[in-house]
Amino acid sequence: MPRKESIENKEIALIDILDVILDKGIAIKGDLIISIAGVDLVYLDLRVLISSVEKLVQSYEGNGAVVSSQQLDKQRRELTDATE
Amino acid sequence: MEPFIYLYAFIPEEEVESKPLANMEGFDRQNNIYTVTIDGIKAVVCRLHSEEYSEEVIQEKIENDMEWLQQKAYYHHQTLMKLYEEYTLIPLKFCTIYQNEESLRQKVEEKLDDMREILTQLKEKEEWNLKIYCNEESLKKIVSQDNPTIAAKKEEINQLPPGRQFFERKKIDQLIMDELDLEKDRICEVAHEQLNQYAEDAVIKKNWSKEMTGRKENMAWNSVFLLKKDQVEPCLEELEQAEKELETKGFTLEITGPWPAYHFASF
Repeated sequence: MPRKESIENKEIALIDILDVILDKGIAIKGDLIISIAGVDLVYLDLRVLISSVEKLVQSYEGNGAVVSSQQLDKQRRELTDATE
Repeated sequence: MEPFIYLYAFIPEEEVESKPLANMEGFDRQNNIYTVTIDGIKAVVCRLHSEEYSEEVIQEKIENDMEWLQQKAYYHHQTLMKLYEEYTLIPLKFCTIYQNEESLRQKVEEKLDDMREILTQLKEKEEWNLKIYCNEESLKKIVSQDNPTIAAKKEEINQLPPGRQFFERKKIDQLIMDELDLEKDRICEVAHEQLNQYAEDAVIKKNWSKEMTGRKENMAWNSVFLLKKDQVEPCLEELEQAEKELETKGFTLEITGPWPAYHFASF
């Protein structure tokens, strides 16, 4: 299935993930009550307009643990530049 | 203190029996994922330190530690995708947490019938997301040239005395913008219906602002479809056709998937 495969391998933006995991899938409620602001608010706070899962995967695999603060700072600067 | 239980998904027991769960790190990247069996359904869970992940701590992190939220959201999604590659599942919302296994069992027992029904419905089906973006400049040109309402208005203006023509022409811009919005919705609805003929179910979602998408064009449409696996390829073929037709009018169609059935697994 060539079409499907090429789509499956594409990058998924973080916004797409947040939209589904924060908003949907409410089959059953948990015991802990945690309120999460709307996707818009969370996402804009994250200020990762140009970030994507692909980047997270790379940095995650790259240093075996977490995205380094330097990388995050760099992303932040890029975003500030891009949005100003 | 007794650990909390973080819940990822529900899977039919027989699927896990024929294909055991792979080793996966849990929400805290320390405890591994395992399953709790409740009358034919497997709840995929992991333990969480109840002080490190108390209601207050998580709430605080979600509000003030965006790095944490971004990573945990991504881990949650990644875990669900790995499970989804192997099993039929009901995905849970981010941070669905129980006090202990007993409490999870109690909550699940009340919903077992609904869950079984949904798991049966979701078998061999996939969720796909369609987003349509519109370059309004391209569409505006087409609308102002070809739209019958606009053409009629222009003709009417040409018949007026020159003094009034000037004022009426100013109004035409607004009319073009109104017609453009109508045309945009109409085109998106047609594209949605073209794909919907292959779908078992569909949900129309809200459009995101440019600020959210980081794109130059406005999002004009956002919808999700539940497709039988054998309908995915014909549906994507249809999408290719629609893409070609709409490209000249300034539309970009984007599809992502397959997703766990987030939009079709709630009850």
